[in-house]
Amino acid sequence: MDNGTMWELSSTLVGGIATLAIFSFLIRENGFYRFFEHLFIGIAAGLGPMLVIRDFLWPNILEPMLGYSMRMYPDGTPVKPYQPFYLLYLVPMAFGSLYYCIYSKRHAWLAKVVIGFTLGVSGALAIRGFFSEAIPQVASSFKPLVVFQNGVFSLFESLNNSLFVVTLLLVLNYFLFTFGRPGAVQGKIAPLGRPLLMVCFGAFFGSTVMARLALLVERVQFIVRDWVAAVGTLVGLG
Amino acid sequence: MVVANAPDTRAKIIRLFTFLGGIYFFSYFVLPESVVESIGIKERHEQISNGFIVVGAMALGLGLFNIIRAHGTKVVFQRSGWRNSLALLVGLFGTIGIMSAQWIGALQVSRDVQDVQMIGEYASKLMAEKITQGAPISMLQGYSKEQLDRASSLIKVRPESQLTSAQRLLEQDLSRKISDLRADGLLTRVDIDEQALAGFAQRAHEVASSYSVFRQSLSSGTTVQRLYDFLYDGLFNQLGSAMFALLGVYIAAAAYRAFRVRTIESALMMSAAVIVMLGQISFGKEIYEGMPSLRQWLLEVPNSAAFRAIRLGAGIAGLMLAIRMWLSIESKSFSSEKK
Repeated sequence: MDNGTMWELSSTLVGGIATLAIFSFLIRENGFYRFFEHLFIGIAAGLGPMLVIRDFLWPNILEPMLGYSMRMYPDGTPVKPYQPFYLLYLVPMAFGSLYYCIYSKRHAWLAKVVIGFTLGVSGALAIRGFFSEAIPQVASSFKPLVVFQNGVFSLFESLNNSLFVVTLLLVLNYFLFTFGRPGAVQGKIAPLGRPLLMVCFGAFFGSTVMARLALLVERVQFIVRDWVAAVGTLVGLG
Repeated sequence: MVVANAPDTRAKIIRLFTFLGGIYFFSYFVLPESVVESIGIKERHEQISNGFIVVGAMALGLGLFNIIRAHGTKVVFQRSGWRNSLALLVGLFGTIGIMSAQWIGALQVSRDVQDVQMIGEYASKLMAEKITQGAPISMLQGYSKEQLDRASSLIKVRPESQLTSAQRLLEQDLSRKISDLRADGLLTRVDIDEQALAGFAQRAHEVASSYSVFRQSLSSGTTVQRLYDFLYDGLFNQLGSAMFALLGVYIAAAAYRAFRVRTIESALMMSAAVIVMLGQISFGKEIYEGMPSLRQWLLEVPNSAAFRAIRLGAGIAGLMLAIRMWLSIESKSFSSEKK
């Protein structure tokens, strides 16, 4: 068995043990499950920062700032001159390091400054996100109620569009709590939104169940086919 | 210090920075594009955005430190569950170590490839400067010989018996291209013309791209790469899939309770879910031919409309929350000294 096959075999074997450990939770919570759960969290906690450093901080900030991305022609002239403005990144770095003041009782409020700053950025981005995502959706929701395709009236499309607009308005109306509902038309038609919401929730539920079951089937297939075959190879049956 | 002893001033500073944090992105969004362009922000937008990300990225160490402190203490003092904490720390440091080693290796490969690329780039530069303004051609010849020798020795690092058939083909192709380039008159002649230099640059670029492909292919067989594959494909992906699949079992169990038909509304919910599920599998077509189309219609018309209404409602609520957060209306207790 060559080196590459050995690695693949061990990867399959350990992957199968890990999968069985997670599935052992179905019987009851146990040490085997908890061990692999912690291992998973550890790997995920290591992957996150490394990906940020490798894919963002190094190529976009540190490498150009430290001049490591600078290349020289053999005659000593630079391919691309050093950009001193990258040194300005030292300012957000210094500001971001205020997070660590959280460990000092006296200066903990400084960490709140940078947390507040980040909240402000998220708030502004959320405002932008709403207008750039929701407004086009509102515009596209109001479809023509009478549809002609190639000059011919299309009953099916017209009914579909009408149902779409009516559903949208009824569900929106169902969530309208701001002004007086009792007695008004808006209040009387509000319950009509409920069954439509139920259809939506049902469809979501069905989609979620199918997606999760697809994963479950894939896992079971992995255990039954790949892992059992790998165990067979290991004990000399394969 | 005055600021340090004045809680109100501190609260004001926090609120001010919260507002300042959002002002850039808000202004960039509301200002007309012509204004953004005229003040030179548009061309620097990516770098400025990166600056904001850097502020957040500085918190990475905070997370790592907290994990290490919490679980490290458990391991050191052998408190309850210390073995699990040890597994977590092994996973954490193992990942960081393996990814660092893989990254350093990739950087080295990238440097080597760039050195070979430089042969063609320098030839192109000399050509652009019409030879006379640039450095003497002998400098290019010296550099090219040195880099080609280095590339030749680097591709011979692994014995031929350890190469896959695809790698062997790549190596043969690369060796031939290097020999061709070496045999080019440019490496021996000094009186070179522009056309010959252009041809040399073209062939040097071809060598560089073949060299890059070959080096990338060699990297896939290193121990570090295999350790990374083992960690990522053998553990992380498998554990992640198993976790999500586990939820599938619980969702299926929950479905039993949820789908008990007691009212018209629950009947509607059940019908929609059953149609969506049956429409997705081939068995659904056996029951009713039009099941997939019915599923599609259900998802595209009533479900899409109702979901859009929910999203719009949630979006407006999110907008209000974002404005309150940005203007520090939402987080008064956060910016004040109250605990």
